[in-house]
Amino acid sequence: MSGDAVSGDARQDRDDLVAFFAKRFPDVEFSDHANGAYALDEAKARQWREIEDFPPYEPMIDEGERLFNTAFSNGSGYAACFEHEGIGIKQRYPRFDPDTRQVVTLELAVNHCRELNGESPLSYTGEAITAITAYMAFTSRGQKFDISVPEGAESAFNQGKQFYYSRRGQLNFACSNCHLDAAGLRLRAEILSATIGHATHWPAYRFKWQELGGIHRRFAECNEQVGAVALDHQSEAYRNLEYFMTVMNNGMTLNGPSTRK
Amino acid sequence: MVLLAASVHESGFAQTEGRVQKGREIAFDRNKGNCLACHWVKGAELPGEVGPPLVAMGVRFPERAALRDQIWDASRRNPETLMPPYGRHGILTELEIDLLVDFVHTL
Amino acid sequence: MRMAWLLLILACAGPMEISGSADARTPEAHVAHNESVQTVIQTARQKFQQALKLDYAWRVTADLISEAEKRMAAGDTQGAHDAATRALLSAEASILQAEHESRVWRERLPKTATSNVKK
Ligand code: HEC
Ligand code: HEC
Repeated sequence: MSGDAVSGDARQDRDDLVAFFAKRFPDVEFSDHANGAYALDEAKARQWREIEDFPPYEPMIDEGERLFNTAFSNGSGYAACFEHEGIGIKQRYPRFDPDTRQVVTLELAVNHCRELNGESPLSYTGEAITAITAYMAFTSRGQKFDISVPEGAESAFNQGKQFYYSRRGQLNFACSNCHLDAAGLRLRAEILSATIGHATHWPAYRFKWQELGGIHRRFAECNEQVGAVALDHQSEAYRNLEYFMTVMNNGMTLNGPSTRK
Repeated sequence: MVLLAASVHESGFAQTEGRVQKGREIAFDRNKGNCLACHWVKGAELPGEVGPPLVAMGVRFPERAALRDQIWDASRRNPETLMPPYGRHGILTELEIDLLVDFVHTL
Repeated sequence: MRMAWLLLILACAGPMEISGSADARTPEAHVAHNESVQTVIQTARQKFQQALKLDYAWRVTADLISEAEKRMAAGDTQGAHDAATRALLSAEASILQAEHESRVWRERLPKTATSNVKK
């Protein structure tokens, strides 16, 4: 299951990024990047830790747990669809499914499970799927990402990688322009966070949103702010992007849900 | 364009001042130049630091054309620049870029 | 790319500066006619669809197309023409961006990368 299944290239890419940020931020521990921009801004980090003591997303975790444990009309439930009954498994998502040759995110797996049991799929922009995945993320806290790139997954991985390093939108930015080249610098008043650490804490409660949202919602926002038309949540391109980004976070500790500005 | 042509006759200091002021507004406007996202400019609150402070522009760009080029398409000088191609991608109009050049050149 | 420029020139039925590289600059003012404007809007829409398929569309293209349609409906043919031309140029620039990026994106991998040395 573990590291062996990561193809050599994918592992090299991840190690290169870790080395890049170790050099850029010699005083920041690898594991601290899981706190995003707060790892790079001590003043804001203090405020943020106080918020995390009384997290605004707590009711949503409870709601997610309730939904997760509500039986389908056929009597079965989510637990039956997942290994370890769905508890503490997010560190292995997204995963590549060799049969469909698709990247399966946790959201996608939740809906597969529903459809398998004759239930209609949940909307990817709705509250229910966010609550359920928030609960599942919560049960995975403290685990380390262990995403494999098995044979056959290279194409999906490379598409995600290409997306990350390609400029888009009228303003002409790649994700890497901001979160790699300019990481640690202020864009307006905002310190740009590093690529490593970007996958650890979703769904996240953003004060701007006033609610929890998944990582694809953040992708859409980062696309739109450079003038690009955002893609659909859970589109193939966004799933491949999440796959690449999460492989880059291999070895980092999950700390979701979390709060962000 | 029409506006520009019409005003050539009223030239003089006030006219130049007006253009510089308009250019400044474009530079500071988040929906136009948004230059402060990356550059320190005199009078800026909470500027970004992705690009160098815009100072001594008249000295650094004796040729206004070179300054205009940088704003129109910074990737000509540096293919991997982080500065958006304001002219090439139509982010600003040609007139807006001319006004910006007038403003930036005073810095 | 060429095709659209040709259409533009035909649509404008007047002299137009043609630069070596496609870009999304402000269009020159021209006398616009209803039919020719419709042609430009139609072409802009097609190019926008093409950019969408590439996952490379720009938001401004959609905005400019609806602006052109609104102005058209309001009888402002010249305004509609300018917006439509800018929409088309932006759509073309987005497609050019997709092509360009598919060639150069690897250059952006982190510079410390030992893996970049091997081709
Ligand atoms: C123009 C700069 C810019 C670009 C380009 C950009 N982002 Fe962002 N991004 C930001 C800013 C600003 C934030 C908020 C501050 C931070 O956490 O870095 C952010 C935040 C994020 C976050 C949340 C980080 C956290 O800790 O919660 C993720 C994930 C992210 N971006 C991914 C992407 C992806 C993927 C792309 C490419 C599709 C991208 N970004 C492109 C500016 C950018
Ligand atoms: C996203 C960041 C960003 C934005 C926004 C931006 N720039 Fe830049 N700018 C840069 C960077 C980075 C450089 C350094 C040179 C290069 O890479 O092109 C630069 C360089 C420059 C220079 C040359 C400075 C020198 O001393 O050589 C000028 C002039 C300039 N920018 C003007 C502007 C103006 C005017 C605007 C607003 C219309 C603007 N910039 C918006 C990032 C930005």
